[in-house]
Amino acid sequence: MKKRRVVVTGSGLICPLGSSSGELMEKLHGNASSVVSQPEWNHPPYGLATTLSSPVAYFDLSEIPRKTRRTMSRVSGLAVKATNQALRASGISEDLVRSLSTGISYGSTMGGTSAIREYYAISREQDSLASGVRSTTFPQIMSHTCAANLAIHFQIPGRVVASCTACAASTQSIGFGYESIVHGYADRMIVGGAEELEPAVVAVFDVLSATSSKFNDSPENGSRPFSRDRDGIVVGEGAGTLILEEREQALARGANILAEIRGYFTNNDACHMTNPSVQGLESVMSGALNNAGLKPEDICYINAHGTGTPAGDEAEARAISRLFGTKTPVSSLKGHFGHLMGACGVIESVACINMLNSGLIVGTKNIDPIDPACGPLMHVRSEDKKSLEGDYIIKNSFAFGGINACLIFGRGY
Amino acid sequence: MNSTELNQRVDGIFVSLFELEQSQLSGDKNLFSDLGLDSLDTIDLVISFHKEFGIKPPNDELQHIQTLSDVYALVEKYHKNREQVLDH
Repeated sequence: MKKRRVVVTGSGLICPLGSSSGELMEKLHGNASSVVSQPEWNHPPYGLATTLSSPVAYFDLSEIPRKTRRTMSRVSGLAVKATNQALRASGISEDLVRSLSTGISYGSTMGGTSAIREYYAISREQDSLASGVRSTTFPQIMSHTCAANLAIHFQIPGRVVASCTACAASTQSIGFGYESIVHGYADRMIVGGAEELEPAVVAVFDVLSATSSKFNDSPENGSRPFSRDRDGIVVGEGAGTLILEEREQALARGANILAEIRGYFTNNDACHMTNPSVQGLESVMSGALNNAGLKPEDICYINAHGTGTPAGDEAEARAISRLFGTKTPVSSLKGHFGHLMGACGVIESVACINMLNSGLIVGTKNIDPIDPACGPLMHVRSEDKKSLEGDYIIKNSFAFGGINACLIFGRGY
Repeated sequence: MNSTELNQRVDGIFVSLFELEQSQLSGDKNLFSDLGLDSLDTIDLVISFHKEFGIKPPNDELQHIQTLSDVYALVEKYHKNREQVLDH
C-alpha cells in the first residue's frame, strides 16, 4: 500500500517577534531581538538570578468570548489566536474542521502555569485547599488545557491528544499529527504548541543555573546559541499552529501547500533527566532520516534546538557533526527570540517552512565568538545572507526527561 | 440589608462574573435560556455567594433555580438565616 503523504496547508503564530509568519520572518532577517530585562526579577518575591525574558507584548485574552475563555489561561488563549490564524490561512471549510476525521495534537510545557500559581496563592492566603478552586480552575491548569480548549472553541470532534513534554512538546505534537495521518487515523490534524511566560517556571531553570544572567544589562545579547559566551536560556512565550492534511485530499480541494512533512522520529536518551546524550540526539536525527527515506547528504539545512545552555549546545553540535559532518548549514533561532518552550518547535518550524520557500537561511544571532566545542560545523551567523540550496531541512527539539524529537520538512511541490 | 440592596449585589455578581449588562437583568429572565449560563457558571455563582454573603445554599435547592427571581429569593432566605444566627 502506498504511504499516505502529509502536507502543511496553513500556519499561524503569535510570538515575541510578531503575530504572523510574515512579521516574524521580517524581524528574523532584520536581526531583531525580542529579549527584554525585568530588573524586579532580581528581588523579592521573585529572587531570580536572571532578569531576562521574551514576552508577547500585545495579546488580549478578552478578545475570546467568555463562554470558551473562562476555561483558558493565557497559554490556551495564545493557542486559540494562532490556530484561528492557521485555519483561515489554510482555507479549510468549517465542515471539514468539524469532521470526525479532523483531530488536534497540541502541546505545552505543562499546561496553564499561571493558573497553577494563582490557585496556590489563593489557597495559601485563605488557608484552605478548596478556597482557591473555581469550576474553571482545573480546565485552566490541566496538562491538556490547550488541546481541549481548542477542541471546544473550534468544535472539533475528532481525536484530541496533548504532548506535555516540555521543550519538545510542539515538535512531538506535529510528529503525532503526522503519524495520525500517515497511518490513516485522521485526514487532517491541527498541530502545534503554546507557552505562557510564568516566573515560577523561569525559577525552575534558574535554580538549575540554566538561565542566562550575565547579560541582564544588555538583554539583546542574553540568548547566544553555540557562542563561547553563552550562559543559559532566556524563557519566552507564544503559540504556533500548523494545519496538516493528507496530500491527495489537500490537492483535491485546491489547497495552497506550504511544505511536506517527509519524516519524523522521537526517542529518549534513557540515561539522565537533564543532561543531554550525544548518542540520543544523533539517534533521533538518524531515525527521522530513516523514516523519510533520506540520507544525511539530502539535508540542506539543520534548524538546531540550540538553546544557549553550555551542555545542550555542545551535545547537539557533536551529534550533528557526527551524522552530517561539516558541510550542512546549521543555525538556531533562539538567539533572536529566546526559548519559547512548549511553542519553540512549532514556531521554529513555521520559520523553517518560510526559509524553505524563500531560499534564504536565518542564521544564529549572538553566536560570536563561536565556541570551538560546538564544532566543527557549518554555523550560519545572523549577519550572513546564506541561501538554502536543497529540498529538505531538519528541525530538532529536545527536552528535560531525555525526550528528543526531530522533523524533516520538504518542499510542497 | 434590605431586599433591594441584596438584589443589587446579586446583579453586581452577574455583571462582573458573567459579563452581562445591568440592562439584561430582570427577575423574569431564565438563567440558562435568557442569560446563557450553564452548569459551570452555577458552581461559580455559588462560590461567589459564599464570598459575597457568607452563605452556602444546599445543592438540592440550587437545582430548582431557573430565574433570576429564584436567585434573589434564595440569597434573601439564606442571608436572613445567617443574620438571625449572627444576632444570636
